Amino acid sequence: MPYSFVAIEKEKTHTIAVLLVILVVMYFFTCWGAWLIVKNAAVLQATRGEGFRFLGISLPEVVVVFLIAMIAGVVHYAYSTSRLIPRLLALLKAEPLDTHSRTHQQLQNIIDEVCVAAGGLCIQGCVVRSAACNAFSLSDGKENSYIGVTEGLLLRLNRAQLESVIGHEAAHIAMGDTVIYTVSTSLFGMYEGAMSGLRESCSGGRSLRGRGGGFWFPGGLALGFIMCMHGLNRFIMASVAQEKEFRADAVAVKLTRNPLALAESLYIVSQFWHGQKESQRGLESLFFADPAVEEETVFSSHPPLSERLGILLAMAHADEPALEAALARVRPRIRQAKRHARASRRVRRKTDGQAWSVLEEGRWKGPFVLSELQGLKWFTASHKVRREGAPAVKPAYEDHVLRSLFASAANEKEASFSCPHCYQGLSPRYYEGEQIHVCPSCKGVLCGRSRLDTILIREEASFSPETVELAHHIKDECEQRFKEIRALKTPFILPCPQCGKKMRRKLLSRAAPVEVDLCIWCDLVWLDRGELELVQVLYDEREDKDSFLA
Amino acid sequence: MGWLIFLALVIMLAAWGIGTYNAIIWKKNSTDNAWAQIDVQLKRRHDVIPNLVETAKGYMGHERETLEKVIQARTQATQATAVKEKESAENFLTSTLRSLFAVVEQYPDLKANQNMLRLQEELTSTENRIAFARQYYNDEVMRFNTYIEQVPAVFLAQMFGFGKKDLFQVESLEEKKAPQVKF
Repeated sequence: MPYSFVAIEKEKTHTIAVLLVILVVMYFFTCWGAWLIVKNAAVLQATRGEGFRFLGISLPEVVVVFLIAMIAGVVHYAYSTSRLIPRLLALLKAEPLDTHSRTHQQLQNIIDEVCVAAGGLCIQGCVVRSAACNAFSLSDGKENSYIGVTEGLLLRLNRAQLESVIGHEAAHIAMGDTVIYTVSTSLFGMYEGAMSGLRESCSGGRSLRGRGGGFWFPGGLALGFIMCMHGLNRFIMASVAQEKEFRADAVAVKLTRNPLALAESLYIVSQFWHGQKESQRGLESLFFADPAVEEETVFSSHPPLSERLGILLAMAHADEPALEAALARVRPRIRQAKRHARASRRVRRKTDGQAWSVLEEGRWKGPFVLSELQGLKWFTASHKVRREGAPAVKPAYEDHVLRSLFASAANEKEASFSCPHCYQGLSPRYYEGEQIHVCPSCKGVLCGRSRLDTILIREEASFSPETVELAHHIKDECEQRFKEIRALKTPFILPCPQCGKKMRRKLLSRAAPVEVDLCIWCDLVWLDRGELELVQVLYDEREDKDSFLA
Repeated sequence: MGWLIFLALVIMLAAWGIGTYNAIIWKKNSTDNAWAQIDVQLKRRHDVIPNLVETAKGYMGHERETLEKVIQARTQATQATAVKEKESAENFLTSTLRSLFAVVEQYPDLKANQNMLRLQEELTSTENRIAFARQYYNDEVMRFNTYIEQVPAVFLAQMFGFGKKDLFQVESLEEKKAPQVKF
């Protein structure tokens, strides 16, 4: 096996030492150059150009320069590697797995399974709430290893395919590649941002010299240094990463014994968007597929996907057309299949209807006084009621007197949340694999803001034609009169089911102009009946999905 | 001069002997560790089963026999100690679980039960873990067996009495037979 722990430990220590030495050497030559220039500039200033002779560096000066380089290198290393993993996780917008989500539970299980296959690795899972299709691994070599997966990937891969992707990332961790990538990214990757900043300023026609006047000299030196670091990072990544991707694929197959699943995952990933180019600049090597390029070349951090796919398909004794056909067969249009079931449920709901005289099973019962109603075991907020002497028939939860009855009942049951409209206890339910709380009477939905993003990314539920049509109307109207619609908002109406403070009523976003109630303290969203589906339809039809989530 | 060469040869031989012996011990311990990992995963499976049976019981009043079989198989599996004995007990448990899930298919309410769904995912994951732990154990056993049968380690292995280790095979004899297709 190529992944014995002793070998990993040795390689890890060795690689980190090499990286530190490279860093010190870089600083040494930079300091050497700076010292030489400053020294000669000072002499030139003193002699005013008369009899100027270029001065070299004496041995004691070399020692001083070396000491400075050592200190700079060590400080840089210590700074870059302190809180390494939390910083990178924050940069990648990765979040811990949600224990209430079935999909996340499954992901954690798959990670644990792969750890067993690798002979007892210890890896934690995290997730990025993005529609992109990608995965990454992080490791600081001190027992902190993470595998992160985007929600988009979770949605599109089945269990075996996901297992193969996790196997690939676990192989990187087991072989020690992730430590190199993580430390190297942290040491040299910070210059990537500076480099792109420089590129932008240069393309904007502004030079360092022109802007700063007297600062041209340190500016030029910094530019040289940044370019060296940038080049070094590219060189390290290009020299090690491509070959290691092939090795990781091989080890993943050895772990899962399923080359076809890995080939399928690569194919699916190649068909979808890999991630945002700008936010992940300098972090490409950490990913399953390079997010910075549409198509990999021999110069990118990853080998071309087609090449990896070809090797895996040969291992599985399959070819690409057969793979495409197999994937088309196993991914049916779930939404269309579920549409009929949803429509029939809707009709059944309409025939429901019960009643101060209470309409029970098609017959008016009562009239009951409040205390009698409280004693009726079968009476719920969704029963239709008619106040004696008043002709209007309405659901019990719309009657302000009966509301208090349900509110106290919800408290007695110790329901975790109660509906802000009808004061019924909300019942937890799974929707698109995520836990939400639904009011049994008014069918309103309460969910966390971040959980709403996850629900939007998933595509298990289906929608009725009416919902789709309504969403189109909203979209059209919003495009014409967004400002007017936004001005119509009515702030602070409903109380938050968790903290009781008034929620802010607002449009969810410009892309989803659906009025929802947001609790800014608890980060919860209340959506009235049907609004969640509307937002989902609007999200599905949007091309620029990540800006929708933002 | 002669005795110096002899001494050098003896030292080299001793160094080789120590190195090879240590490598054998290292590989042997790796296989033992891999075996222990299977045990951990089997224990996990045994822990999930009572919850599963408890959840199913409420819905499957008429299938008492199937449930009892699962419980009986679990008890047998927890009591088995030797590799071969464990193999057959676990195989029996797997077959009873299969029949349980076949019966669960007939109960839509039970299939949709959140607790049942969670337990099914838990059991699927556990089965996968057992399979992976077995795979890792078999890989380690293969490395060990290959090493102690190769020259020159074979001499030391025979001298210290290191024998071949058994692979963990799960398929029953019936499953190994090629399926017969009749028209």
